[in-house]
Amino acid sequence: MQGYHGKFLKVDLSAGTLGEIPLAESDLRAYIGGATLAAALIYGQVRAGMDPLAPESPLVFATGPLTGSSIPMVSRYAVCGISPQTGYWGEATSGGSFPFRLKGAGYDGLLITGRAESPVYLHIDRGSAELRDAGRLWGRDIYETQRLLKDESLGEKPSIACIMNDRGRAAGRCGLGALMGSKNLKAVAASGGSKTETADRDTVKALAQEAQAVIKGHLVSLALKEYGTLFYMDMAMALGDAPARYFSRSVFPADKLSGQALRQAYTVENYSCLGCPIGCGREVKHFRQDIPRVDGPEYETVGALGPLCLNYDLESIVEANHLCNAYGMDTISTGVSIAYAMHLAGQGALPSDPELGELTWGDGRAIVKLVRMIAERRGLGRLLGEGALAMAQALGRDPDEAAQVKGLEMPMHDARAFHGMAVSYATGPRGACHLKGDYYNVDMGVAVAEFDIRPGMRFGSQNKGESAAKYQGLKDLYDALTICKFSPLGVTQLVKIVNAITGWEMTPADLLAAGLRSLNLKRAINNKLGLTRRDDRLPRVCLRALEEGSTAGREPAMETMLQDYYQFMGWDWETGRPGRARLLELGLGHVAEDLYQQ
Amino acid sequence: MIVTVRFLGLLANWAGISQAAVPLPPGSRFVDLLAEIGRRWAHNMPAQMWDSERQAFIKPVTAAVEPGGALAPQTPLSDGQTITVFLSAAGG
Repeated sequence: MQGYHGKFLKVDLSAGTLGEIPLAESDLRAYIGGATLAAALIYGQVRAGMDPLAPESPLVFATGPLTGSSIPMVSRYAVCGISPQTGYWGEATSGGSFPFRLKGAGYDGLLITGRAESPVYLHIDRGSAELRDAGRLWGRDIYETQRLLKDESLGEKPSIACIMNDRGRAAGRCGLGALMGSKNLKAVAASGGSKTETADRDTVKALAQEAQAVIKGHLVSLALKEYGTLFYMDMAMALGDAPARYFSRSVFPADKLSGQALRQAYTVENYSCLGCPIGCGREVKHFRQDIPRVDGPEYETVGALGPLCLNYDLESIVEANHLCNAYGMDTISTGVSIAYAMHLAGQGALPSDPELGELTWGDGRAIVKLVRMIAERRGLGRLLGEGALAMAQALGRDPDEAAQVKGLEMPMHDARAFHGMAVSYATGPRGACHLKGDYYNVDMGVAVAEFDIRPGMRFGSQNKGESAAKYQGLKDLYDALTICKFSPLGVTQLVKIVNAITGWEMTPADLLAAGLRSLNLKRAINNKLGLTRRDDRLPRVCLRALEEGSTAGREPAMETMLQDYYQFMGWDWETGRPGRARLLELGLGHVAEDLYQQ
Repeated sequence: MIVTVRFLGLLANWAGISQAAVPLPPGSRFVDLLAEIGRRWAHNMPAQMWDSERQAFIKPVTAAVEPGGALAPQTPLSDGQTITVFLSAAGG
């Protein structure tokens, strides 16, 4: 088997046992790896009404066939399970050196079930694995835990908790840190230099060199290298893509929060994942005496803790970002929850909290305080830590006021600025996700000729559903291959790389089918968990036309795009399930049998 | 006629200026403005941005907005207009 070790490590924390799951090559061809393979592995374990935090709820760490190779921008891994935040399929990815080490430890991934009696961590090295006592690590923050684990070789967490690696890199979305915490699993420490076989080493070497040149010469790479993802802040404001004042405004002083502003205010250095020639990550040095170094902040973080809360105080944003990292919390969901709390406070609908005092728009110090309260589950922080939908439900508010899809908070790309984002958010496998797909990039000029995806008018809705579905499939494939979404490599290049590593003879059409298979498999998991078409919607607060900025008066035509999307995907308009014929066509006969016997 | 051009992000870095008044012949369109921007400032920008033979930016490089949305290449410009120009790229 080439490109894979051909096995997962199986961990039962209740029994304290470790074993192996062999992987069939036919399954690897169908599901590739990463988040898609994770979905295939847990599909049979998913039951209607399943409690995401029950011991039997699975947690998967998965790499892909490219991880560990010399191809740039592939040191990534996916973490998957049933999201404690949404109750549906949850996945998150992260990069760094950890994914190389995880695969180097001799496994393609980990399938973890059960709950340990007391805190443990998993230690894996060159095919050998053991569970070790983590009592001395429990309650320590992300940075201290990683430091202590390196020297040697929190139970209840908010629903928006994430999983961190390589200091401050986050598998941030869907609250999978809460799932990990519920299992009394504090950490995974992996090391080793186990290599997988490669089908055609010379071709891989040549393709890696070619990829390096393409990546280094790409304009987006230059922008990311210079300012990180924050390069986009002032452009986002000009386009109306960065939401402000809890999705009710789009005009704000972006120059105070841009990549340039961060660099002027602080000493900023680049961080690169292993094997990446860009280095889009930021590290703020000498921030404060008590916080000498901060990982980030990224565009999404600055957007959520900045303009969304009408906060233009960079220092408070950097500090809140650091606290989110240290506690292991999703900065998008944290920012949206806080902005919603500010919105509620403005309407007199937020319960009072003596520790917090009066909450007003733009209060950077209150934001920092709220981040601590969320992490430590104190006062109003306990409610905010459950996310926007839970806040609306608990306070008896209109759910259309909660900026989320399927329970996952809305990212900092406003669907009113790029209407294709509306259908992407509504149908994405994990709820409101700006990465599957990042359709704003298509309407900014990114074409995918192999899949007939072409840029259109950003305010247009006609024929956008099909295009958004195909682009979503492509980006789902990225998380199966575990390749960075900032990689500018084209589909044809990706096909060559996959074939040279695995020895397969895939075509671009095969890759598109793999992406669509992945979307349908995750959709079926969500259907089993109770999801229907009624869940494929955006809340009014994120759709209602604004009165200012470059999107003034614009509202996406959701119904038109959704019908187009459903038609292309072969999904049933009444139930929201993938059609039997489409499932069979994609080789998902067992899923068809499962969904249509009910 | 004279239009005011605002540069955002990296484009401002590369152009070495955040705002400039650009004189154009009457009847100029957005594509003419892009060509003029290139002639004035492309020498400071990465080589892969500007096609010197065609005297045009290489797509996808720039876009511009005015209230209501992005400008199409053939959009006519008017005297006194302010146009925001930036790399046609998103991230984050």
